Amino acid sequence: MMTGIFKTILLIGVLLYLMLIIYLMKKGRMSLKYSLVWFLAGVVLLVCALFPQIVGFFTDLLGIYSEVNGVFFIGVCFILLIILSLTSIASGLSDRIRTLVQTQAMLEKRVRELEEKLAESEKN
Amino acid sequence: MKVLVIIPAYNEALNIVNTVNTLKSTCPEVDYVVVNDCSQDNTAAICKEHGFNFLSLPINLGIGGGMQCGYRYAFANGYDIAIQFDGDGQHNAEYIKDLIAPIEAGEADLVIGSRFINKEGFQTSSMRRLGINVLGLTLKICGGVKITDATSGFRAVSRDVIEFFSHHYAQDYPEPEAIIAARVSGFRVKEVPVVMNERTAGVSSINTFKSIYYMIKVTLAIIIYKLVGKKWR
Repeated sequence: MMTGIFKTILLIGVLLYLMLIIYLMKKGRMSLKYSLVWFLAGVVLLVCALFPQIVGFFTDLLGIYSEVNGVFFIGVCFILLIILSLTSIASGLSDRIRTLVQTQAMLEKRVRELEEKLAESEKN
Repeated sequence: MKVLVIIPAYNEALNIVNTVNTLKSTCPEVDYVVVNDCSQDNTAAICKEHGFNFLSLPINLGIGGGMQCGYRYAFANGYDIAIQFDGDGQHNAEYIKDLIAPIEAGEADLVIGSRFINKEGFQTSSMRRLGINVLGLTLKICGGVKITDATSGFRAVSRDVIEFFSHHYAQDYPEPEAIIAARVSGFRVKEVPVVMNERTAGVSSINTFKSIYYMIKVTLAIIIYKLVGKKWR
């Protein structure tokens, strides 16, 4: 059983969390693409706080003793999912940066050589 | 055939002039490009001053990203063969023709210069030899190819492999990982004997302290690549 006080804390916490996400998005500090998994986590936890009987149904089914443990379990699953998505995002970004840096180096070489040629032809 | 020698250089101010000049006098028929991986010393200024053909990365990408830049340059400029050649004076330019020969004959796509076939010249510490043997065994099991010098950065590749590497080049442990990547994609890998020198000046990027940790990571990386790596094309 979830106590009333835990339910209240969970509810307030989840609401603050959702507000923070919306605030960050409004400020343009989080893009929509990356906010989806955070939103999903928030909504699932909100449902857990509002309807603990749903959590109770699943904890009974899985043999988890207390609903609170079930909520923690769901939370940990989301944290893992979010960290995994961050690693994937970071890998994608480093790929793009690498390609960009290499392209820049090749362009820099062309510009440098063109400038040298230009300087030479101006001398003559 | 158009041949490009790619010389990765990170903080090689003490060696780079010697390396490039020796290369130019030994193999005047090949082109070269120095890839300055955002060195903190004056490697870039030295290259400019001597009129070397060089690429200068604006941020440090590490040896994998630097080499890949060289491969992209080779692909964009229509080279048939690309050669990796260290900027620290460890590699002997006179062996470049031996490295190219199997590719010109159509016998191999990736040719590695090994210092352990004839066991001549600089042979490195026994601790690192052990590590290189473990890598060789891993590559034999995972790639089905006999490699005696998996960490050798002295290698030549064909046009097809230039294209492959310009799109996908191992970033973290490039030398051994590039071998398994080439094998998974069905390229033929061959080793030829070479003689290497000890570094003349400067400090190598790998120290003995990190060697064991490096070994474990690279072995795992090879196995993981074999299990999940995709065939290119």
